Amino acid sequence: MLALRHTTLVSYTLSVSQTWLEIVRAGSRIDVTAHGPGVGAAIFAWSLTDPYEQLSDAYTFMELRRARPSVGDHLYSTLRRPMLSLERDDADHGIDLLRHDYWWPRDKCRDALVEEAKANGIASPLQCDWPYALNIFARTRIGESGDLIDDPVATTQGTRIELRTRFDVVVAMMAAGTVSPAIDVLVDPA
Amino acid sequence: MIDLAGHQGADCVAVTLAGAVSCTRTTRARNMRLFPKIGQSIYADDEEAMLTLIEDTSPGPHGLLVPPCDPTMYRLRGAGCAHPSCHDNFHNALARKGIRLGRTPPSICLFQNIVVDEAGAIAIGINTSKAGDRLKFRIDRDLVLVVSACPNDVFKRPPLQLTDLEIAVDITEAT
Repeated sequence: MLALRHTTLVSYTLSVSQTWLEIVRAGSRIDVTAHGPGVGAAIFAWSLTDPYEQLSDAYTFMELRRARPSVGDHLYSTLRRPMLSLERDDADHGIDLLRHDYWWPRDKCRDALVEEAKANGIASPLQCDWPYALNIFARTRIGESGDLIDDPVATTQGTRIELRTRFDVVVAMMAAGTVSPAIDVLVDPA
Repeated sequence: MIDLAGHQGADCVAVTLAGAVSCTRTTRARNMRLFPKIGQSIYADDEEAMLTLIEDTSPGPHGLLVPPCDPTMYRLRGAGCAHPSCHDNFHNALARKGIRLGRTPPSICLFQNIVVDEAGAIAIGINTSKAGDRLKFRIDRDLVLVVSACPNDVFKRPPLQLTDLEIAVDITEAT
């Protein structure tokens, strides 16, 4: 799939295991909408100017002091900068930072997205420095003794999460689930 | 890993010569725990175990959530970006072994007093480990282990001080 630098609103429909990778300018809105139950996506992001400034669970935990981001929260980069903001979350804590590989093994996402970035002339991290996925439409609950408990998100047709970019980034996703097509991705440029 | 005087944090990363790096996310996901319990392992990003926890005399809880302290954190907290950091300690120590990482892996924060409640709120307090508390790990594969006695004194107030760690390696059972 081509990675385009859009100035108008564009949308994509992703089937299960299909990837999407895009340069998204600062201030743009990214909507991820479910096509039905049991769908989601692994999402990665890095700075357009520095592929080693990456979307990070650890820095988001540190800056938010919460394990589950809510509407109004930023998701942070490895340089402690707000990278994405969560503006709508129909799924009730539908972005999971606690576990990786919820939807796909890391290698599968990485190999597909590295190739897609290369094909489109977009700088990406080396494979050994590939970022970790955050999971859209996934949720993990924390038990009282530190146990992690799977807490599936009940998506339906139209369940949506909206993110806004805080600076120029490359955003990459791989769709997943039991319904195909799985998700729509819409980018509304700044 | 022994906290000699108490209240001291030990930030660790492990790297294999083949390039696998200790991974907090993989470790959480494989154990379905915020931190391994006795018998569970720290995993690398290649999904293989690196270290298995076999003894813990400390009150814990230990951390696998937040990144190591770094120059940006100290600058933002008003301590200046020249303040020593676990981030710099890791990269400097790995460089001495000829290993260079393009990014800084979130660290295994031993003795860190980090608590997450059921609503997901994260609280980081002064470490509660006492003098002589220790964790013992079995090394599951050949690796370079970097330990940084955390130099974060921004939140420590007298009489608490930055203190030493002792690292003892028993090679008698290695094959």
